[in-house]
Order: sequence, then structure tokens, then C-alpha cells
Amino acid sequence: MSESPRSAPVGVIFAVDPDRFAEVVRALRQAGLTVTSEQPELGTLSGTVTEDRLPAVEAVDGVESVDREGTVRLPPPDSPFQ
Amino acid sequence: MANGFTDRRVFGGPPDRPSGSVTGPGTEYTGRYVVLLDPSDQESGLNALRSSAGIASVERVRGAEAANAAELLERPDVSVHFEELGAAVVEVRPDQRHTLVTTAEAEPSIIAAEPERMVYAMPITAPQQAPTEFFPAYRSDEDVVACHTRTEIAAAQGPASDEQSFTWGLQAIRANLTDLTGRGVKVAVLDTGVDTTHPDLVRCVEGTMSFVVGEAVEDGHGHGTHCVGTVAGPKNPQQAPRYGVACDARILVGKVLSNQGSGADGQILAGMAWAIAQGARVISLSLGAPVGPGELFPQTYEILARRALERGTVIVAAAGNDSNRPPSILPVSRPANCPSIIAVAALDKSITPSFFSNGGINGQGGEINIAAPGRDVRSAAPGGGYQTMSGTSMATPHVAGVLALLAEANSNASAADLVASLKSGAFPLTQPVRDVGAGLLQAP
Repeated sequence: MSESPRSAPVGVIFAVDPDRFAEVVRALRQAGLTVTSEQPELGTLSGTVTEDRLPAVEAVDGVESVDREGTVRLPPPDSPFQ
Repeated sequence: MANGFTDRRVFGGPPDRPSGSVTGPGTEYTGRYVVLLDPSDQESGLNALRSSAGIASVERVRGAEAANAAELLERPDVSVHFEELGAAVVEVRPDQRHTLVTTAEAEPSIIAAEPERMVYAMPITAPQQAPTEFFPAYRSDEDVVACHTRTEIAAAQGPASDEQSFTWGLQAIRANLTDLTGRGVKVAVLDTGVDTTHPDLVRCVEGTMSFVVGEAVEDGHGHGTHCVGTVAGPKNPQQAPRYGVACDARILVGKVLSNQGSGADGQILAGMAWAIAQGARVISLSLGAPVGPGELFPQTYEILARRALERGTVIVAAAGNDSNRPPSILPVSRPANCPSIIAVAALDKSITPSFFSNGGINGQGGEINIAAPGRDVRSAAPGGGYQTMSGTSMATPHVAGVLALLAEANSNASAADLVASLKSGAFPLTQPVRDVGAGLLQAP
């Protein structure tokens, strides 16, 4: 069975309240986030979540921002423009 | 010979130099001062100069009488007040020049005062100290005026084609003239890693960390090595010319892009957190992803950048190479489009925007903040050699290097202070602010 777009995982990055970082991350996990990296000192983290769970993670108390994770792609090394 | 009120043009030759320090050939002053007045209160400024500096009697020139101005300006006994411009060209005795400048500085209705100068086209390679003051300013320092003139001409003509000793980029930003080296200042370069065995770079690497699963920090692309070299390549590289801005800066190499040149936001955030924890004063991001017209900056990067600034770390990022001028100018990439991240545009040797360099199409942080050399930039290559590359990626580490120089010059400066110094030190260009921001990067 092919995955529907609603249940496909998407990459997201967050800024959260750094003063209660652990608590917010715990709540994000409970809301369906799989954490891929976390930076407690700066209050940021990244993870994946299914599209249909996005509203739930966005609504977690202590979340200050949520952005779709972007990917940087440099040109190949032999390209004259970098 | 002093240049007083009398007989200035008796012999019909060029005006004499003013007395006092005269600095090298090519700089000539008329002996007059140009004074910029508060347009709403011009008389106060002139009165202050009359009473303290004893300036010559003032003749007003209004728009319709402008044709007479040239004649009036020739008269050594008359100061000329251009009322519509809110400016005056004042005659002052040589021994009163210093008083004039100090009066101007103290008088709130006088915005600027500086010696009127003769400007001729001249070559730009004269080895002179770069200007660091913002323009306009209160100044009697003729060195500064002379340097400003030279930089102005440099910006108009472009740097020398001669790259025997220094790359054109170092010449354009005047990194070849400063005594600062970024000594002890930590700069993080988050990129494809570095050639850790490059003979030019082995001494500048303070620490490394790879955030790419399964890849060591060793640079399998070349992009990262090039950027590290531009920030901190040595004073005497294995092979000339010198290409590093801050020769004694300490580089933190965070590998956040794979050897194929790709990386996700999560890796970049992790690299930034590492850099800040390691004490980086500057984070150089020669990376980005395109955004559409009207697209808002990523909030998470903005919040992180603000927290970084609070901790004393400035983040600079490449504006992106998506444009194809003329006519296509595309918006500044993310994360350079964040309000708290310095977005860097690329310039050609002609000191004009590179055709690929993105512009300030989007508001709310999507502006270009500063422009730096980004075309045909020579720097280090993996394997111990060198290569020439172009892109806003090459412009960005020039800015990171200058920030290291600024941080060395003022170790107590906050991140906001460094940003303010960076922008005010830039040389304004005639190109649109959309494309070059504050102008051409200048070393302090």
C-alpha cells in the first residue's frame, strides 16, 4: 500500500523556549515528532513528523517557531559558480 | 605657503595646499571647508562659525542665482551659503581651521564639516591606509579625506589587475593595508569541511567537527577549503598571491554539507550550536536554499540568530547565486534572508554586482546587507593547491574575515557593535542598495 501524502514524514525545525527545553521536547515527542538533532543551549531542534501530525506539534506549549526543513545543495565541484 | 584669505588666485594656478599636515602626493585642498547645515536651522550653524572661527562674510545663493556661485566661490573674502542645499562653502584662515571643525562638531545644527578638496582621477593601488570613518563626518584629518578619495576612485575604477602579491579581493577590501590579522579570534566556517593537510591551512584550524553521518571533516568537494582559505589563509602562502583576509584567525571547521555538497537544516543548526559553544565570534555560512518572491524568512533561524547575537556571535550568509542579470534578479536565499543574519552579495572586479548575485527583492530581512568580492576568487584547494571560484559563497568569507579583524581591534565589542562597525565601514557604492546594501566591504 502506498503512503498517502498526509502520512508521509516531513522534516521540520523548531525554536522552543530554551528555559524548559527538555520539557518541550518531551511534549513534541508525545505529539508525534521523531527528533533528529537538538541544541539545548540555543533552544533549537530538528525532526520528522507526519504531515497530519504537524498541527499537533505546532500547538505544543513552548514552541516558538516551526519551519519546514530545507536542504542546501551546492553545485558540483567543477561548476564555475558556487 | 599658507593659504589665507588673500591672493589665493593671484597667479592663476591651482589653489595652494592648506598649512598643516599634508599627506603624500595627489591630495589637494582648496583651503575652504564644506559645511552641511541642518536644513531647518541653517542660520544657527553659520552664526556659530562666524563667532568662533571668524569665517568670511556669507553670501547667500538661491537656485536662480546659481550661475553667480562660481564667481563668488572664487572670491577669497566671501563664504557661500547654498540655502536650498543646506550647505555652505566657507572661507577660513588656516589657523582657524581646527576651531572650525571643533565648533562644527559641538554645534548641533551642523551635520558635517570637511575640507573642500580637489579630485583628480588617479590609480588606486597607492599603498595607503583605508578609511574607517563613516561619511559624512566631522573631520579635519586630511589623511582620512585623502583615503576616502582614493577609495572612491578605487570603487569607480576597480582594483588593479595585478594579483602578484594579493588577490584582487584583498585589494578591493583593503585587507592588504591593515595591520590587524584577526589574532586569536575564532571564526566558524560551516561548509563541506576542509583539507586538513593543506600546508597553507594546517596552522589556522582550531577545531573540527563533522555533522554529516559517515563522513569525516576532510573536504571531498573543495567548497569548504576555499572558504576557509579566504577567511584565514596565511600571510605568506606556499604560492603567492596572499588570499586570506584574517591570517591569524582561528578557524572552527564544522562539516554540515556532504562531499556532494548537500546538507539539511538540522545539520546546519547543530553546526551553529557547536560553533557558538566553541566560542566563535563569527559564523560564516556560504550556503543557502532559494526562496520565492514574497516568501518569509525561516523563523527558527531568525530566533537562533538572535540568541547567537546575544551570546556575542555574528552570523554571515551568502545571498545566493540564482540571478541572471540583466534582467533576472532573484530574492536573497534562506537563511541569509533572516533580519539578524548578514546577507552578502557578490561583486565583480569592476566593483559591480556579479550577474548571478541575488538581490533584496523581499522585505523583512530579505535585504542585501553588504557586498564583497565574489567573482574569480583565488583560494586554497584540496590537495595542497589553489583554485579560482565565483559565487556569493566566495564573498561571504571575506566578510567573516573582516569581522574577525574588527573583533580583534575591539575585543570588548558586542555582536551588535561588530555588525554596526562592519556596515559603517563599508564603502557606499553607486549601485542600488537592493544589490549591494551598505556597499563594498572594507577592512578596518
